[in-house]
Amino acid sequence: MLFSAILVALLATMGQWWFFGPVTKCLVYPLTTGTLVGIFMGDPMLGMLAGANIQLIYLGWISAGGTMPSNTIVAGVFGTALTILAGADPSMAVTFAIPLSMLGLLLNQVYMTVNAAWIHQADKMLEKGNIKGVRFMNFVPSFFMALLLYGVPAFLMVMYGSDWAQAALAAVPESVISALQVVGGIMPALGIAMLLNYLGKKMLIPWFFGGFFLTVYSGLNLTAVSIFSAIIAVILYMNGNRETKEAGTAKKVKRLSVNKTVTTELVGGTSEAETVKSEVVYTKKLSKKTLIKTWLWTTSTEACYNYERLQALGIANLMITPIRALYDTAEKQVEELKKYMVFYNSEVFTVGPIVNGITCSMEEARANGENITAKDINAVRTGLMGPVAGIGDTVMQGILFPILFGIGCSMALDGSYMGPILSFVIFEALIFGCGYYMFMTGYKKGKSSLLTILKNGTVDKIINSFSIVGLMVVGSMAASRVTVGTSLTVTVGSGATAFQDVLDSLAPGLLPLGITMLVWWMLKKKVNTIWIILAIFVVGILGYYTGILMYTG
Amino acid sequence: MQNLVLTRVDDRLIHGQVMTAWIKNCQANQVVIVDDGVAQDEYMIEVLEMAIPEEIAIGIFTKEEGVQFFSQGLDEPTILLVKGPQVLNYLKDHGIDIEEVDVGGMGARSDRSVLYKNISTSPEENAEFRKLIENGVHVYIQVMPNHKQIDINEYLK
Repeated sequence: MLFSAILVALLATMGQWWFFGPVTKCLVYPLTTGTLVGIFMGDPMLGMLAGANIQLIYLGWISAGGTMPSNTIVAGVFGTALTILAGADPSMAVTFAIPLSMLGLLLNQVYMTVNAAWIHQADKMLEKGNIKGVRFMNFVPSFFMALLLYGVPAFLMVMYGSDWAQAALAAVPESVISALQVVGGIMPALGIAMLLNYLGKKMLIPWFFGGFFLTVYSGLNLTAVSIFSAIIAVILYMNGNRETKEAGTAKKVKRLSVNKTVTTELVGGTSEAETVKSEVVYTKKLSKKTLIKTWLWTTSTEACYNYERLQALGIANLMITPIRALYDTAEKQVEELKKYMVFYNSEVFTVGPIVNGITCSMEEARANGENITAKDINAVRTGLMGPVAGIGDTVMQGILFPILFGIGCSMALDGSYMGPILSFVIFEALIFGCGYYMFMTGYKKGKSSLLTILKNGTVDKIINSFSIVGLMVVGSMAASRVTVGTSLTVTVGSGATAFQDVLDSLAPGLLPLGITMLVWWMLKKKVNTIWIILAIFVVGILGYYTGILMYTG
Repeated sequence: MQNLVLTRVDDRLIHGQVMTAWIKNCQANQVVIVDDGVAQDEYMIEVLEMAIPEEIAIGIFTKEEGVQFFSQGLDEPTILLVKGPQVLNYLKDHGIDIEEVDVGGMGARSDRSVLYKNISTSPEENAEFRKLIENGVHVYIQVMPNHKQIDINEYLK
């Protein structure tokens, strides 16, 4: 048990201590952590199933700009560990995870608040010329904070919680467990509805129903539905490409003028930003090696994430590498680094590295005597961080993550270890590929690189076509993962007919569809998600005891 | 003012929170940025126009243009984004009816100190907020739509 407890504690720690973003990002997702907790605690199947059940609720929760709507680190690690300790059914994991994730928000707030202290320490160290200190402050103190806040409780729980958890579960009457299963059967509707609310532009909503009815009538599983939807998306994407090529334009901009008229303008996709030929001969160049190293350091941008200046320390840390390459004396290096200790927050996985690349190219130009001030560099960075995060969060959290992990969850719930493995591997490949490309493009093309990329409209087209995949996947999930039916019977003449059969004869899956639509409607009416969760608990429990609802998973 | 669905102080203007959450939550069709600096920066105008989703109309105005724009009333649900409270007082002083202000993002700077979690303000900005409140504007902190609104008054004291 000691060994398990240590491993789970480290996992919980790294879920919050984002020292290597691409991997630690996955430790925020319960599908990944659940499986790992299962492996560490000797029951990988139960862990994976519990993790997948928990993940389903949180597919549509977007955390942007240093906020966290629900602590999925705690939900995944602690929720799964508790399920395994108690030896509970994986559908019960949801009941453990939800309250834990809410309590967990407090842990995240404490972590983000205390971390601000380390950046002040780093300020002081930099003032004294201690560059290594900046690196130290970026990584080490926040590790111990995460260890204290997440690791220690996780260790104690796994080490000593087993008897307590089993006794607690044994004390719960059988019927309550069955009632909670019904709740667990309804709960995925929330995650699905949140995604629907997010992806569901009016024009695209039919794809959701397409996914839903394809699943209920054909019995195709989610993997099959996602393959078909991906084919449709690729066809639409290529059609879109051809159209824009013919028209010679790509990105549509709806521009508001002062007199309230809206003009829609198509921005040319072929317009190459002019490259300013410089008179200055560059004597100092950033080598490929330095650039690759810098890009790798971007993975630790959020190692000391804090409320005060968010990613500032991580950015200063990654800029140490190019600054050292460009300036020889320690005094000069310190002076150039200081400008990075200011508030910075952007998306750091997919599109975000472009800003780091642009920064490197500007630093290089500055070191070679071009007329670029420290202020100019920060003006570009602070100007770009917002819009880049807007696009990056949309791509990463609105498209990439829900599709991959939605499919992963479904495979996992069918009992396949390929679910968590594939979603992890593809996710990593995409963010590494995307991040590297963006970083290098930012460096090579400088300030104009972002405009060039956005102007050809590829990002918009990817978002639009993959929203279709997302919606079909979500539709299919509503059909297969909202597992609740009715146990009512209607007496017609002498025989009793199950009301569910009546419903099924109209169209299969009407109840899950109805529940999903209802939750979606509540989200549209801006009902707080906490109330929705409570409502699901009430409806599920009442539904079970009145004999109206039953778990069909 | 009718159809002004959100007035937000946010020094990153358009970013993840605005794009993934607020535009959808408010069901806005238009985003208007009033900021003298941005309105005169060709590069930033282009970046912001490129970043916003295709179906959303975007207007980037100076203070004066902002007054002109809003004084005509709004036909579509609109989000107003500004970097600081000063410009809101300017709009208010020029007869633009703003009832509520959401303080969503003000990052730490050397002249600012932490007001509430990740919201930092300078003494001048606090004075501007007080002026807004004196003029009957409801000013609250709310970073994301699913957060509770927090009255800024308690933290301004």
